[in-house]
Amino acid sequence: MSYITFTNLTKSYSEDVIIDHLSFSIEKGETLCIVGPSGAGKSTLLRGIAGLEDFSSGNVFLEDKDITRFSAKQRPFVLMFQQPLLFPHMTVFENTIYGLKFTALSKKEIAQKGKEFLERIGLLSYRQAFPHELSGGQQQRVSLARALITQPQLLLLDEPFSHLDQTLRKEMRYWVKEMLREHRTTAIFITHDIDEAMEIGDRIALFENKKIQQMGKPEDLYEYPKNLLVAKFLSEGLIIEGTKFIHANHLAVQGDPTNLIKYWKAFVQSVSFKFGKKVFFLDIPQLNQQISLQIDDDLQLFEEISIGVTDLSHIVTFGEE
Amino acid sequence: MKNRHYSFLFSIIGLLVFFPVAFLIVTSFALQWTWPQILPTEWSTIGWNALIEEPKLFLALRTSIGIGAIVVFINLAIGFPAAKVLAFQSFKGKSFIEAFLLMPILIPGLAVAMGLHLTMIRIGVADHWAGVALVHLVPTIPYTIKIFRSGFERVGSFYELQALSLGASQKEVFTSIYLPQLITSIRSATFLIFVISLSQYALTAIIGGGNVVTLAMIYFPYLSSVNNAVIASFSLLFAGIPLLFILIIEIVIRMFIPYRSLTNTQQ
Amino acid sequence: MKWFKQTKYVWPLVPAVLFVFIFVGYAIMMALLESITINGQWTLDAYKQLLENQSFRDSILFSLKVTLTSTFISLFIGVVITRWMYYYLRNYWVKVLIWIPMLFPHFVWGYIVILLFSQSGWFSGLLYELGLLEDFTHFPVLTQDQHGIGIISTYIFKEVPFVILIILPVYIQMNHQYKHVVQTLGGSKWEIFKTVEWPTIFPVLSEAGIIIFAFVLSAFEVPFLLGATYPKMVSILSYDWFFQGDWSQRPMAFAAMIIVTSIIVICSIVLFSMTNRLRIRVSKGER
Repeated sequence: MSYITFTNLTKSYSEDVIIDHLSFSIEKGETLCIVGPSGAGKSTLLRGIAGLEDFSSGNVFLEDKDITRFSAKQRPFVLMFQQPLLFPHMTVFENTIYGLKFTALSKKEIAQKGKEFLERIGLLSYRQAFPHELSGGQQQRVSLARALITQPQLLLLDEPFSHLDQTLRKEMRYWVKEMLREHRTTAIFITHDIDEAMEIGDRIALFENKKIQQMGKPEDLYEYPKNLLVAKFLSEGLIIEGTKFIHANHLAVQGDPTNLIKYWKAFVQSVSFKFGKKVFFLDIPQLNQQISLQIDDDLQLFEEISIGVTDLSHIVTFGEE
Repeated sequence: MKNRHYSFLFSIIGLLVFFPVAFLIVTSFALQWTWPQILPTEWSTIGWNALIEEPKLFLALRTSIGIGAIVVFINLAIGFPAAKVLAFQSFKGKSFIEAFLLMPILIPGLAVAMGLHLTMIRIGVADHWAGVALVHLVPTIPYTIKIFRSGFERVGSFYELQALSLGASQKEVFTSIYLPQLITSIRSATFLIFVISLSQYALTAIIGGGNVVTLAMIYFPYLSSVNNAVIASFSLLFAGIPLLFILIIEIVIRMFIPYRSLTNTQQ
Repeated sequence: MKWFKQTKYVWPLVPAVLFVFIFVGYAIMMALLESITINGQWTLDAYKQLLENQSFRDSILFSLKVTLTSTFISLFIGVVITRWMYYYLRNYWVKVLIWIPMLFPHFVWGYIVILLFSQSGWFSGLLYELGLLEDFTHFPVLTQDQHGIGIISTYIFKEVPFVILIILPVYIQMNHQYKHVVQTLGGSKWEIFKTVEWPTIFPVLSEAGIIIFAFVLSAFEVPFLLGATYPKMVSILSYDWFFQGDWSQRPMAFAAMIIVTSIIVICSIVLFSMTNRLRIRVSKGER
């Protein structure tokens, strides 16, 4: 039996279905990343799981206990929001221990734990400071500490880094992953950033079109997308005839197409650099697609080349399990 | 659940607001109504007739509306610029200035009127409508500043900057940006100022010295001298005048303010 | 240069500040002067007389009791209605409803209270017709009574809409996600109010409170209609002394008003210094 199980979760506003019979489960200590385009209803899903909103139907089980009817207050699940949402009139310390006030812990134990957590997030010296004196990243760290200190059975994170700048985001990713591992926290992490999902998630699920399209290890979704949506959103490669897919790592680029069994004309549109290598952005007019590829050859801007496969087995057809 | 809240809200407000007003209307048309009857036994318009025949009524109406209009005008002239500064600028001592500008409604109006009385006599505005209008500014100015300040904060200063960079002058910014966007604020401020000015009895009595006869000045003696139908009619008149005034203001707004679509925004 | 820049921004404030200086600063200074001069001599006699005057001492206590009661009940009811209903209070027509009580002057509401709640008023008649009352003398004295019930209820009636209109924007603009933070961390509804709503509304509410407090403590119209002959609200005493034919009581009228003014100023200073720190913190925290 899984640690937490969701069965047939459905959410609809009058006629409008947002989430359609979603069933999945999560193991203890695991981090599940749910990715999907903005506006797909990921946040609604998370708020429903947190108990802040009701699902139209479906059940939530914690081990073998049905907790569907539990309110947000009763659920041992804690949601962390996009913004840090630290209470502006409370000090960093008071914010950190906020959730412990509703437990049976004594004042002494609370103070002890608060100190311990602030130490762990490296902000102990800020304990008497007020939130507005902290940077955005520091605030989000306090927010995480505030959520983790209650030792939730499930931590829900709703794009917690979306308001931070690029460099800070990367730093926070490793830090949060470390924190979650250290506390053996079971977590569901929502993001629309694929890199973020791949780095943080033990497993990834693509939520699009009201359903989870595929769920599995990051490399599985990347290498073997199960359908068009997953391929487009999570993987890299070319989609042909609407139902077939060639993964980027099987694509070959040559000036002379004689070695290619199947190929298309492509034009170099722009050049950029990544990880010390040149990355070419190619336009394939026949397929009406563009793709970025790292190629060792030195191509010229607007040069015409051929892109294709050397082996027909590299062309995968969706829907064939 | 939500519908239940809604109807609950309406019944509470209805009970608390409509009942007294309806009661006032019934009273104004009562001819024969003795305790413990729930409704009058005889109806008539005698109350209203007696009110209209009051010899001082027309003069008092004119005085009250005139003073109210002047008070509104001066309020807008003083409050509008002050509110804009408070909304958009930050400067040293701002919170002190904010508290200072709140003083007129915190310091007792009676104390202010009594304190100004001798001076007003000396400069010759006591017993005169001008003095009364001036003293009516006291309980109104802070509200005007508050209403316009939150109006400015709602609109923001970006439109002004955009207009200026497109070549508008300060005057054009005022007429094309703020005037149309602050219509709701103008409406609420005008209404509130006018009602407050209309309700001043003590301040008017002290500064006007009985020579400036506003509606409140004849309402109070009525309370001990005439019957309830007349007083009730008079009470309703007090609500009717600001409504009429705001209607006139509305017409003026619609005639003079550019970009009419904004006049219909209901917020 | 910096000074010049500041004044450039600030000059539109000048008319308003000047107005307050003249109409409040100067007026209060004159009132103070007149309270300490009798026949051209400086003296504190007026204050001594006041403190020895039993009816004044009773009046101050009575005024404070009436004022504090009306203020706190108005604030309480205003907050309860707003936080319960703020979602619907955005509705245009509901707002119009809230404005209706503002339409009538205080003294008109006072008059309505008399019509409805006096011993021979409509409600005592209704109770009689229902057989719950033998005679109107059995109806409790609710207007022109010694406890100020009539005054208090008139003010509550008029000030609750005022409180709603002032705190409604705060509730509408409040970041309601904070409520969810409390919920997800296991806090109750009371905790939501305490940690999210109260710190946000407190500065605004205390300002509304001090405005109502100052107004009720010193206003003349409503107690004139609904007050008992004893004890009188301090504004009535002061007004009567002021208009005493031979002007001999005027120093006392001024002294009484100076005392009331001092009470209000002290309360305001205490309250503003209390709320200022919180206000700054809360507004800075809003990102």
